[in-house]
Amino acid sequence: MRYTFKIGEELVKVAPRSMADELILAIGEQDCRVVFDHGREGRCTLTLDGRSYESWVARDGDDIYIKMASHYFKVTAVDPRAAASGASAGAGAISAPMPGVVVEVLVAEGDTVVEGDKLLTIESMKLQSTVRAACDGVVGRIHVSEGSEFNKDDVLVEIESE
Amino acid sequence: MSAVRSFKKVLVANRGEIAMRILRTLKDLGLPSAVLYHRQEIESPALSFADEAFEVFGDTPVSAYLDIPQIVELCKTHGVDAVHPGYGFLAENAAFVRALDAAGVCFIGPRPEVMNLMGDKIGSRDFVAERGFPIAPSVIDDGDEDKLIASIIEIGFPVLIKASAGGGGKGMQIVREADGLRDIVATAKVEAQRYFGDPRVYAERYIESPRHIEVQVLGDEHGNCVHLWERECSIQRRFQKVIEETPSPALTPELRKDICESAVGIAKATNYTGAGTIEFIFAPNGDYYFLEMNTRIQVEHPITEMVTGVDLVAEQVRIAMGHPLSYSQEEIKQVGHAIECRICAEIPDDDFAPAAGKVLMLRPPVGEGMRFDSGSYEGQKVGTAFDSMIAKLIVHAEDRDAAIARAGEALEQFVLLGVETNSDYLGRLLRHPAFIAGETNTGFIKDHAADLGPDALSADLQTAVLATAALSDRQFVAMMDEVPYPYRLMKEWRN
Repeated sequence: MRYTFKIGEELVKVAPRSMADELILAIGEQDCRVVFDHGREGRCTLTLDGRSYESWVARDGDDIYIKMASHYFKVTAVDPRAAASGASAGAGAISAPMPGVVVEVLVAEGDTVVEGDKLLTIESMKLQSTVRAACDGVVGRIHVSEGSEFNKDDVLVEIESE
Repeated sequence: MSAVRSFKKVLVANRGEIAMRILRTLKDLGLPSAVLYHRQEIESPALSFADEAFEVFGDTPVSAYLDIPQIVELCKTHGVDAVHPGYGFLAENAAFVRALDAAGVCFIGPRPEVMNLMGDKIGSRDFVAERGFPIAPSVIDDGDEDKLIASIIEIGFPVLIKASAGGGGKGMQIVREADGLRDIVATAKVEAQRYFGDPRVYAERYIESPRHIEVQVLGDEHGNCVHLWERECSIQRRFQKVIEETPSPALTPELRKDICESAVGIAKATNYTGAGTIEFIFAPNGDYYFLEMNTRIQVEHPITEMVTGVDLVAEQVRIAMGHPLSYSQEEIKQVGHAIECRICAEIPDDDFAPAAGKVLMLRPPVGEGMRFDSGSYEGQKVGTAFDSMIAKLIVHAEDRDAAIARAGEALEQFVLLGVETNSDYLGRLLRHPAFIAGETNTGFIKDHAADLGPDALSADLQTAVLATAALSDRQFVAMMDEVPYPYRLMKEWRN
């Protein structure tokens, strides 16, 4: 019974372990004694191995946004089934980091690419940036063309790994 | 000039935080108000804060706010007799002012002739120089190379050489000595021809580590003109201000008096009416040079309001009604210290790339000497349509150290979840020893980039964040509920 969370680029497994009167969570390799108070209006208090952490929490689907100790964090719950099946589903789908418009498509469907290759030039808030291949493979469907507008998290290009 | 008039309905031709800011003063003055909105902003708090809201249409949201005929037509249809433009959009557009004039609607701001004069980079420099105010020494190439070289040497080094026809940084270089100047100029002319199709170059004195210091002025129709002291806006990224403060830690009382009086002199020379800002480049040796004049209310105007107690928007409205200024120069005091932090949807650690998302939680800071100007709201989608600034956090305290501390507290209190912002980064700027020492210049963010990176976070904190995330996640908690016992220590979790 495990669950995977993404923080930064890191994937960490979190699993509850039952005990008589207290909650123990296995976080990565570490077992932690935890008391959690979901408070009011998003103000949460966590006691973890006797230390107290205050935070503000808001959720949007699988994304959990947290402000804790004056820092902001985004944690994403990774679908347990996808994680269980080896995380292959959707691994090659490259989605938009932010809303914007496509300036140039630099590859064609069927092209062979290696990790880091340039796929698209996009523009968001008057700034241009490059979308790169996240893995080696062959360019599958390209969902956009020059001038297409897209929203954050829209799939732009699919890469089929070999 | 003319008699005092009153307004029946004032339209705010803007959006976001500045629309809210102006509406607040219109309310205080008891004036009926209206605001524009684009369909994308139907949930903006400005719509319900104003007495009326008029939809504007356009291919893009920005183009709607720039549509002069449409806005003038709305004024006629709805009995609007005065328009406050805010900043950006049509705030410095003389054609807009003329179109409103023709429709009998008062523009709250300066006359179009003054706007044109001061809006022209070269024209305004010449105007200011002719009246004896300092501008950075410069020379424009007229094709005579020997004369150009002699003039550059006369300007003094270092000198910045760029293509006359060019913009941005292309083909710009800094020359530090006369040796080899002839070759550098020859190469610059070849490059200017290649990039811009015009071989002429332009040279001006290059000021190392300059500060950006600007002076707020107000002028009325009766010939009165006052300054409301300076603002220092040296902390910039991509030529856009991030933190502003007043007073400037760089000015002695004598220099302050001198630069503020220069600003009033320049404004008076244009017969300026309304609120305006004269921007100067301030060199480390105390020399200062006119840069440009902004003929509108500025983003950073609240810090001036905090130290002087003057409501600048109210003064703009009163001046437009034909009233004389409410204050004489002697009555405008600079009390304490104020700092503004601009909160932007951007990722400072990724070269300030824009961020987008939905505002899920917004908690403004509340406390003595804290002001929060924002048009944001929970549920707002922050996207690419408008500028990345989503709020301004302004503090006031008895002195600079106390103001820095208060700004830190306000950032600590402030919560915005759902969209990445620069608020952590602003805290790092405020805590930097060079900022605390007042050693600021327009290169600050680049020069100190190595010290301004993200704080190293402890493994314990990451573990606490993951535990909080897991226990806030519906599916994780649902999964735990299926396990027989242990979670009675989780209080109030029923969501």
